[in-house]
Amino acid sequence: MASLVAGANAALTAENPGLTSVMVGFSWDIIPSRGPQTELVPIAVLCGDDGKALSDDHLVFFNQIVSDDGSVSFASEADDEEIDVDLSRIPAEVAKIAFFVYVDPDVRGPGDFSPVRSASVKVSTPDGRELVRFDVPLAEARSTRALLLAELYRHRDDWKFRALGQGYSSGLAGIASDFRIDV
Amino acid sequence: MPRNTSPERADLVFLRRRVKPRAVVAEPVAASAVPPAPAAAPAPSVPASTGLDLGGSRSAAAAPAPASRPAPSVGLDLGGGSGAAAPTASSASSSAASVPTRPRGPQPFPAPTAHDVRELGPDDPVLRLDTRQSAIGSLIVSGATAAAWESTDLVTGSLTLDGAAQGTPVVTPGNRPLVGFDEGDAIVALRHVRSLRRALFVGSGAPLGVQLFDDESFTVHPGDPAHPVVLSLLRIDGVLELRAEPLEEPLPLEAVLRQFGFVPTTSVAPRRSRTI
Repeated sequence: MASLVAGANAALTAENPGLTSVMVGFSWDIIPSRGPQTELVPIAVLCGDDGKALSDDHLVFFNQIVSDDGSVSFASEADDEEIDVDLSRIPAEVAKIAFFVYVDPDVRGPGDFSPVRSASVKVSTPDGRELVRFDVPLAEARSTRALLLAELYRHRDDWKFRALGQGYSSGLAGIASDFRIDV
Repeated sequence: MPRNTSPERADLVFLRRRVKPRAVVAEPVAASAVPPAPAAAPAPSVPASTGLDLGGSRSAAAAPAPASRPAPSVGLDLGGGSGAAAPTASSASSSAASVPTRPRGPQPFPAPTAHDVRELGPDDPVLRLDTRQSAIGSLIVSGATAAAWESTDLVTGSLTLDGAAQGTPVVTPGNRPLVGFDEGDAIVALRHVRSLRRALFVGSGAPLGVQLFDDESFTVHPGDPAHPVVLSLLRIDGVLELRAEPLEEPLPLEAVLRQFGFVPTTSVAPRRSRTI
């Protein structure tokens, strides 16, 4: 199991021959509150060569639980949340899959990442063997409302995983703008 | 096989959207080479089952189980035997291997979107949000004086703008009511939309306004004094359907809720655990 720092990458399929699917698990720890509390929502965006979402349907989250092609699906089991990726079924036009966590923009005090003590994303094999992990540095992300955690991207015939941890103070709206999503 | 000549059941709502089975399921039945199979019938080495197969009735003599792999079956197979289940190690461990493509099964009838409709009323009584509009942020209903909710586990309650509550509140993990009032507006916590079955919003004669995260908004025609309109919300899988419902006559809130089948569930105040 390798632990990544922001900007580092791991060659998933090159280092694990025969790997055809992975589980991307998201975990976080939020300081409990008696009042309205920050609620984090993971989302995967399937992007084309231009780095933008292929369409509004190329999103996977808790209310849109399977991508059109069935390659990416939302599950919520072992981790706080989990997104499964079948690498062998990802269409050729998908160049990368970006994984975010956003603060749900409820009008009743949505909050930000301030109460989030820790957050991590890990990639595992379908049988639960952890391949790579990224503990997100949150020091500079406290006032943000969304985080681009990591991306899974094609590299020649292989798939790589890159840790990012880039914050969006504009939250989901900023993601939508950057990735050309209509939300 | 006798034809089913019984009349269509209009009283069962879930049958109204029945969809025709795909041809691929029905087709092979006629071409099936499986004979009525008396006990002596020689079984092929890999029996091909294309129709209804209840498994358990098959005698051992009639159908020797193949050692290597189960029979390919395209029909309904309720048989516990014939090597049916026996998941392989790989299929059991790989959750992604069994991921289906996005379901294309029964779809609700076409309905206008929030982009198409500026006012819900006699001309456009219903609209449907998409999966993103139904799940991000808050659905804000302005002008409502009362709201009622029913969660997926049938917890039901209502709340008025001035704070009169009936039934049981549903509080989400984010410590916000699933449906509640905030600064004069009724709010639905869409992060937990899948906990909501339906809701109802009652106004006081002024138009209701509905606002979504993506700044899409529309109004609800208030009707006339003799036939006021309420806004009903129904979740269908991952999408919300909103409908302007005219009442037969002006009714007190309790009667409106009763008419729409909202029966407040008994609320039990949570008790702190006792220390020994």
